[in-house]
Amino acid sequence: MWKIYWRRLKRNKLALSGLSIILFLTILAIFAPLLTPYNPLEQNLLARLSSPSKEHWFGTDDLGRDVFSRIIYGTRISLTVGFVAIGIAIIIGTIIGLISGYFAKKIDLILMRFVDIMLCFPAFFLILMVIAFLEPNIYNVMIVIGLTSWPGLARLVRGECLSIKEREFISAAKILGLSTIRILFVHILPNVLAPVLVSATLGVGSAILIESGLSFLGLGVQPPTPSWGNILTSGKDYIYLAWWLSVFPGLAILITVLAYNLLGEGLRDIFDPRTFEG
Amino acid sequence: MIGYILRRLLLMIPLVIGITVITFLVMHLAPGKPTDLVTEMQVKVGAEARERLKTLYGLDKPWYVQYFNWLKRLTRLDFGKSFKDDRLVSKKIFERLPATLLLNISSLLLIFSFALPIGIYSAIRQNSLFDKGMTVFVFLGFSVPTFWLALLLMILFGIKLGLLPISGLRSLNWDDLSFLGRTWDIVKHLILPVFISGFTGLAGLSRYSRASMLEVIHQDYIRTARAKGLPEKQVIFKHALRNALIPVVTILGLSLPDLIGGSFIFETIFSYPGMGRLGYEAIMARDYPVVMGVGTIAAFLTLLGNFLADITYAYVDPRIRYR
Repeated sequence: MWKIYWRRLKRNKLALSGLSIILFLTILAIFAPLLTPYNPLEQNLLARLSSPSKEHWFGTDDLGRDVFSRIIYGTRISLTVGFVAIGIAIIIGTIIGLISGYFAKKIDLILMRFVDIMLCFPAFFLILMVIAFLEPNIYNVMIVIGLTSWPGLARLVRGECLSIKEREFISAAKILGLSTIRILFVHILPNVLAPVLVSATLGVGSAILIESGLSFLGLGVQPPTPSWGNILTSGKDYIYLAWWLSVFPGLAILITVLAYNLLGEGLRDIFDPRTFEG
Repeated sequence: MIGYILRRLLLMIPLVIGITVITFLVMHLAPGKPTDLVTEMQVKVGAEARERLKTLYGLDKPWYVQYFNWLKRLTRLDFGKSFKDDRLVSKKIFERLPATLLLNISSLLLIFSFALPIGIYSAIRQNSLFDKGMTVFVFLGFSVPTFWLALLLMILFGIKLGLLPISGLRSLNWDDLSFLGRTWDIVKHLILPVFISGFTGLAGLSRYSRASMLEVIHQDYIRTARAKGLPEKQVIFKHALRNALIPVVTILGLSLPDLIGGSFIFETIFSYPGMGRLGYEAIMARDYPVVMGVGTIAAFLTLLGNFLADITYAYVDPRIRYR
């Protein structure tokens, strides 16, 4: 089955373009120290707020730090936050979805009511509140985004699980006397993986958006550590003087999130059983 | 129908309670107390005075007792008083609510009046240049950090071109303006915030109405309508459109949490005098009663939106039997 998906992936332009951008960004993040012309934390007060030039491709900020180098280093933050946050969401969402779908009845009712509550919460308000009351730092940001992003996934997994558990191979597994945990994780889980993967890929994009929004409001990654969101904050502070502080970090966010969305939509086509071909 | 509406309204109660419990818990489990702000800055305030402050605000009791007291007062629509300036929370919120409603309702109007035609037109002309352009727009709409877009538009229209104001809801010379002048002033202040907060929804709804229309167009009854020789206009507008619009209604409810959640960030960027900025400032100042008040009203508005969407859905789709 995965072989077919791999063949479809190689032919899917959306997924391929998204994937190559993500790979490129990952390389940037890993080799940031080798690729940046300046230390992202090094201040140069003689070159404050200088516009883009040969020396500073994307200009400098209010402390004379090189914006290009800061954006490259910011890639590390955004990719890590997206990955870890959605990792947390996948684990919680999948487990709750499987339990809810498999056991049904009362457990299902309680869990799904809880999911309803989480879904009609203005999520950004909750995240804002938790981060502000805890200490704003990158770990809390990842955890909180993860803890608020799972309800949609749980509902998705539950739906898939409800239909899969009625199939014959699950009855067979039960008759063979396999343990419930084995049935859930070895027999049902692989069959719900495809939609989870699609929704997780799209989720990484929105996690990155949330992180940059929080950092922009001063509640995410704390200065001097460079993140795309907190570079934008100085963009807002110097909105009358330095357009480059606003333009470039936002472009970086846009490209990254776009890449995940392209990959996600591509994967959706790839996993769609209605797409017929060899 | 009335029974259905009543039941749906009753179902909202446990949801509101659930949401407020979570908000309350988060607030009280977090380290740091609102009294720290008053006392930590002033060395002279002794431990005894600190305790007295805690008792005054009821912060010395366990959280569930505090929550229960809060809930009891809520039944009289009493949200308590702000820690910051001792004013009634309900008053503070209701001063700000009209501005937030104005912003969100205008955004919804913008979303619906543009997204539907765009989505439907690109479904009718599937794979045309317009359709492809729309797909690109949708991808961008989902990927663009809207607060960044806000900054760019502020730079372009506010600073470079000097066409639109970039903060607040009224100009400095508001008092000297005529009625028409005031209306135009508010409209000018609204253009950027409304466009920004509607942007993601615009992309979402365009895609949704396109998908819905595409599905309907391929139904048998559309083929029948064409086969019996009806003019294309009538097929599209009378037979297809009506059916395609039904699922789109539900999106109204689903787009509300995003809109209201967005208020917190957009109102802060545009220094817009609404509930979102009030909530943001209250969170930053640990003004518990205001945070709870804003959270409750935001949750209530969201649920109300969902409820209205469900009712409309049941109303426009005769296949749904409300029981």
